[in-house]
This record gives sequence, structure tokens and C-alpha cells, in this order.
Amino acid sequence: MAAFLDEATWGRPSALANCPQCDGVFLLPESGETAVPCPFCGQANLTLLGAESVPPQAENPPELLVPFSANAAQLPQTLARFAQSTRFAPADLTPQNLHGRLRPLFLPMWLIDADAQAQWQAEAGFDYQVVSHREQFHNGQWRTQKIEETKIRWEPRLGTLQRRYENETAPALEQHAQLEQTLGKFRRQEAVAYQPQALGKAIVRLPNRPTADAWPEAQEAIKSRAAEECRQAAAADHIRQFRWSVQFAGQNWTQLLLPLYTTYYRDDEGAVRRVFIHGQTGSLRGERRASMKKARRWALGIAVIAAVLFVLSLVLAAAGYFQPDVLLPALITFVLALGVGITAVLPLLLAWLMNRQQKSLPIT
Amino acid sequence: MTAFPPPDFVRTSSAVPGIDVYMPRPPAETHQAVVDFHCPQCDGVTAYSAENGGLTCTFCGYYEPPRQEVVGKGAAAFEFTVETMDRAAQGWGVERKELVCERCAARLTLSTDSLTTTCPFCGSNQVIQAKAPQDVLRPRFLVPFSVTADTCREKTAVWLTNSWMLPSDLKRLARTAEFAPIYIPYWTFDATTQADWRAEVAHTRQKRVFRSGRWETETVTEWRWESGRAGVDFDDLLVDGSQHLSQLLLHKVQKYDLRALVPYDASFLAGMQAQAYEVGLEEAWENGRQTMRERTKKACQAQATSQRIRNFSMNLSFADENWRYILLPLYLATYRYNGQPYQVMINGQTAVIAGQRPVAWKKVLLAVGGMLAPALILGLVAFLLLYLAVGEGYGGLAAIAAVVAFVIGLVVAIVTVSHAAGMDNI
Ligand SMILES: [Zn+2]
Ligand SMILES: [Zn+2]
Ligand SMILES: [Zn+2]
Repeated sequence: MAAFLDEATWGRPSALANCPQCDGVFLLPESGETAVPCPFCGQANLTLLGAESVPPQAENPPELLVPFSANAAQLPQTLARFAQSTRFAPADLTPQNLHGRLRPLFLPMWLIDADAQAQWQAEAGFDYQVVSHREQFHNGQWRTQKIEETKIRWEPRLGTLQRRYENETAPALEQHAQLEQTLGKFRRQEAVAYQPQALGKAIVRLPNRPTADAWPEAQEAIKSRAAEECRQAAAADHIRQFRWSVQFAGQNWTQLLLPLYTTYYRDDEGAVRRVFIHGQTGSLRGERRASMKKARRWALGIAVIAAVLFVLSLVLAAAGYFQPDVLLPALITFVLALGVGITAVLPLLLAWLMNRQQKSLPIT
Repeated sequence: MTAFPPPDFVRTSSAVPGIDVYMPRPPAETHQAVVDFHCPQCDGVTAYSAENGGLTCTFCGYYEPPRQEVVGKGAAAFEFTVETMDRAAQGWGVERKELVCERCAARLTLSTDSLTTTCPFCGSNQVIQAKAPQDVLRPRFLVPFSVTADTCREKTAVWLTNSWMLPSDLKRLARTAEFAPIYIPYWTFDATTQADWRAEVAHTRQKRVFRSGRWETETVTEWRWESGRAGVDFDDLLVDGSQHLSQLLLHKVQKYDLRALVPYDASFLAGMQAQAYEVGLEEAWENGRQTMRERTKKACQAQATSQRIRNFSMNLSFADENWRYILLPLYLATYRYNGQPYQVMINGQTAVIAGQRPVAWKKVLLAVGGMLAPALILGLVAFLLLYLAVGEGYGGLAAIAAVVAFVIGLVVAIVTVSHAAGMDNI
């Protein structure tokens, strides 16, 4: 393999590859593997890149990493459940295939450190207790009950702020919001300092979002952290309407890596269907695809039964010409044939409906 | 954000390094224990004048217009915070019993509940602004005097002569009575009540029954459960904070128009008497709540489809409760008649008068006699006619007329006597 990255940044020799379909750039572990399907979109195999095309994002070192913490022993069961609960599953969708293709993948997030210097103003809320009463009139007597209620008194506060904010996060992938919506949030507080050996055999996805795009979001995140700090500073119970005029300096961009398992299967048409497992919660999200081929086989089987029944009813009817006693069984067999014939459509309909309802994962 | 920090903000403590916190400057502590009023022109004593609503000097005619704007019903009200209730429960303390006159250095002893004094040695008017247990528990608003002592005198003169039951020599007493202007402490309460009620309500209907051989009409009462929800909005319910005054008289005159409220300023009290509250916030609020819950109960009962109810029960909750501590103007006068003291109160804003009046009981007895006389005479006539048996028809008629006249006379007499009793017995 060519184009091994400098170990200085990642501490692990890695090959750089990109996906011609989704433009994702990945760091592959050093292995003799060829034809690695894109773990992200699954639509194409990754192509190795030359050293001259190392994107600038690859130079931002990882600083923190959220380790895989989903129960690994549960993974086969999770995959088997998915495979078995898919009706008319394509032939390729087997627990064995899913498990064999399972790959750990790390997704990036930006980590920003910055010095903030600001003038701020806000409304600080202070809790206070008021006394209220309830009265009950019963059997000619009043009974008074005293109750205390908590209210908030809002007062203006303003001031200056000079603080360094470290490791504020901002999405490094365009698809980040959709990803977390689909898979569930990642518990970033479980992040540990990055160690190259923690990567193991995992593929690492590189950011596709420039720091300039992520900076406004990072500022918002820093702002809400600052608002919380100003609340503490003012010894208030609540804060609202926080505004500041701020100047940032000394920005430093690093990466946080989030754990994800990916695997896939191929549908009837040979297209790759992706299955993701959250690296912390172990919850699975995958595209379900029914095999129309399989459904058609079922439909055909049922249709054959119907045809046999129909022929039988004809035979009985013919016999009924001589022996009127068998006319009734003939009729019953005919109705049965009709009923079974109609159900022959069901497998096709169910499979079609399932494929129609199933949206593909919103990650391309 | 230019000019940091803004001029009306001061720095306060911060719990986080690197963050400075500024808060609005707290209102300056302008607490002045005693305010002394004297004229800047002649150094004479100045006092508040109900005539023009400012400070005037009785010696040189110097006039200082009032300082405050009318805030009326918009005057700030306070919530029943746990903190306030706790502080209010501590009361005034006993610290301000002795005062040194700022003008002549005489030592004066005061009762703990008066807010003003006039030095008996130099005649200067002083307003004592004692430290309240909490700032909100100082009087914050008041209705200034707008009725003058002269008006009071005229009103009293009319009032002392407007009934035939009064002794005819009362009028001259009006001239001798001394009207002392005094600010009475009041609590005002706002609240909204909301109550769910349930009761058995009587419904009657007529029923025909066949009993002992004939049809009779019988009234049947049926009790049916009813329920509902009612609420009352209370706006500035007044509860007085003084213990020394006749509650009966006070209730007759205490219809004040709170749209005239002004923020408290010592100059409104110059030369007047003023009392601090003796009935504390908690106790006054309990009185206020009792009034509110009774009125809410009436509102609930009024919703029942019939007014005959039993097993009435209700659950009431208060909301948006707040309070104010204010001073309201009142004139007090005591006059003596036949060695007996009689009290008069006049509302210092509306001039409504209430008080005790000596009743000329001889006049009243004479009148009662006059009321019963027709019955007596008619009775006598009837007796004579019947006894002598001349024209029996007229005798019977006269007897009936006598009974009617007696009943009417008796009713009028009872009303008159009770009215007279109400006049002097308070
Ligand atoms: Zn791809
Ligand atoms: Zn003067
Ligand atoms: Zn003096």
C-alpha cells in the first residue's frame, strides 16, 4: 500500500483513501486488504490516495477519543435479530455475513480551544419563596393550609469576561446532525485522551467540514458555556437573554473521535445496504430491504396450491354431474382455491410495501 | 456596549475567576432618623397644609409645593415573600423610645408607635423615620390630607344639628372641638380567589295526594347535589393596622380613594400625627383573608340554583397575592358634653364624618309618647263607645283603628329609639 501518513499526527501508520461516490476521506489501518467498500455510503470501493493529496484535515491531530463501550458479546445477537426480523430477507442478509463484515469506524468532531475576551449582559434569575394559602370549608368549619411557592426574580447583570475555553465541540461532518438523530447521541463526556493503539483496526473518517464552517457553531457552544459560567459568577439560579460582544484569540483545532460499527449486505440487485451500530449504546440502525425474488417465489408457491385446488374443484364438479353428493365439496374447494389465489398476492404486496416504507439511512 | 460599565451599575462579587459582575446600583440608603421642618426664610416652624398640599410657614407665609407625583393605584405592591413575613414577625423592636430634639436639644420620650412629634419646648415639627424590620415595611405610600380643619369644623357643626334628637345647645360645641390630623396605618391587599364548591340544594314542587277521601296539595322538597366554581378579584382591600381606634367608627369613614396615593415623603407628615402599624402584616393578612374567603363563599353560594342549601363545602386557593403598607388621613376630635367625652372621626380625604352624638332622651321619649298617643286616644274612644253602647258600629271601627295605630306607633317608636341609641352608644 502506498501513501502512508506521517506517524507524527496519528501515531499509527495509515493509508489514505477516498470514496469516489461520497467523497469521504478515510484513514485505513495498515493491512493487505484490497477492495474495501466505503464504510460510510457503501456505494463504492475506496481508492487509495497518493501522499501529495493529503487533505489539510488529516493534519489536525486527534486529541480525544470516545472508546467503544457497547457490549461486544451482544453484537452477534443484535445483528441476528436484525437479519431475522427482516421479512423476505435477501439471500445475502444473514447474521454471518453481517458479522463478518463488521468494521469499527471512528467519526470525527472538531475540538476547539480559544481565548475569549468579552463584555456581557444578561438577566440573572434568583429563586425566592412566597407564602400562599389554601382554605377548605367543610362541615361549617374553615381549615387553612399554608403553602410556599418558588418564584424567580430577574435582575440585570453585566460585566467582563476573560477566559480560555478548551475542547468545545463542533460538527466536523456535514451529516453529523442526521447521524446523531438516526443513531442517538454520543456521550462525549466519556472521551479519553487519544492513544494510537485505541484505534486498533478501525477506519477513521476525516472531517469534510472546514473549520471556518464549524467556527460559528463552536462560538455558539462557547457562548452557552460562558452564559452558564456568568450565571455561576453572579451567584444566580437562572440566566436568560445572555448577550456578549466577544473577541477570540488563540484558536486551536483538534479532533474528537466517536465510535461506530458499520456492516452491510447486498440486496437482490447487488446494491450495498448499510447497517450501523452505535459504538456506545449498541443500538442498531439499518436499511431493511425485502427480496422481491423471495417474495415472488412465495407468491408462486401459493399460486400453485391455488391452481391445484382449482383443478380439484373442477374434477369434483365434473364428478358431481354423476354423483350430486360431491357438488358441495366441489363448491367449497372452488371457494378455497379462490381464497388461496388471492393470498398469493400478499407476499408481493408486503415486500413492496416494506421497501417503499423503508427510507434509506440519511447518510451519504 | 459603549462606556463600560454603565453609570448606574456597581461591581459586585463574582464566584468565577476571569468574570467580573456588575449589578444595578442599589437605592442609596437615605435613611434619616429624624427630619426637622423649619422655614428657610425666617427659621420658623413649617407644617404640611391640607389647603394647598405643600409645606407652609405660619410666620412669613413661605410655601414649598409638594415634591411627589401622584402614583395612585399603580403604587408598587409587594409579594408575601417568606423573608418579609419573617421580618415582619419580628416587629418594630423597642429602640426608639427616646429622641433628642434637633432644634433645642430637649430630650423627648415617645410612644413606640408614633411617627411624628412636635417638640413641646421649641414647637418644631419632627418626623421620626424609624428603621423598619425590613425596608418594605416602612410606610411607602400615603394619601395626603386634602380636608382642612376648618372644613371639619363646619361639617361637624352641621352634623351636630341635623337631627331633632340632638340637644339644641350642641352647635357651639363644634367651634370648641380640636381636630387632630392623624395618619392611620393601613394594609392594602390584592388577591384573586378561586374556589370549587359542592352542596345539596333544595328544590320544592307541589304534589297532589289523595288522603282521607279528598285531594290535597303537598309540598315536596328534594335535595340535589350541585357543584361549581367561582372566584373573586380583590383590589386593595383595606385592613387597618391600628388597635386604638373604634373599629365601628373607622369602618363608617374608611372609604378612601386610593387613586390619590403618593409615595411617602416626610414633608406630608410635618405637623401631623402619624401612627406606625400595631397590627402586623401576618395578622392583618389573616383578617384580610377571612374577609376574602367569606365573600368568595357568598359568590359560590349565589351560584346554587336555589338559596336553600345544606352540606356546603368548598376548596379555595389564593393567587397573585400582594400587599402595601400605607398611611391614610383622618381627623380625630373629642368633645365633652355634660362631662361625657364623645368621639368624632372625619375622613381627611373625603370629609365623611362619623361619631358619637349625645341624644336628648327627653325629646326622644316625648316623641315616642306622641307616636303612641293616637292609639291611646282611639282606644279610649272605642272603649267609651262600646261601653256606653251608643252606635256599636262606630265603636268596633274605632277599636280596629286603635289596634292599627298602636302597631304603627310601636314600630316607628322602636325604630326611633334604636336609631337614637345608635347615635351615642358606640
Ligand atoms: Zn462512500
Ligand atoms: Zn417663615
Ligand atoms: Zn425642641
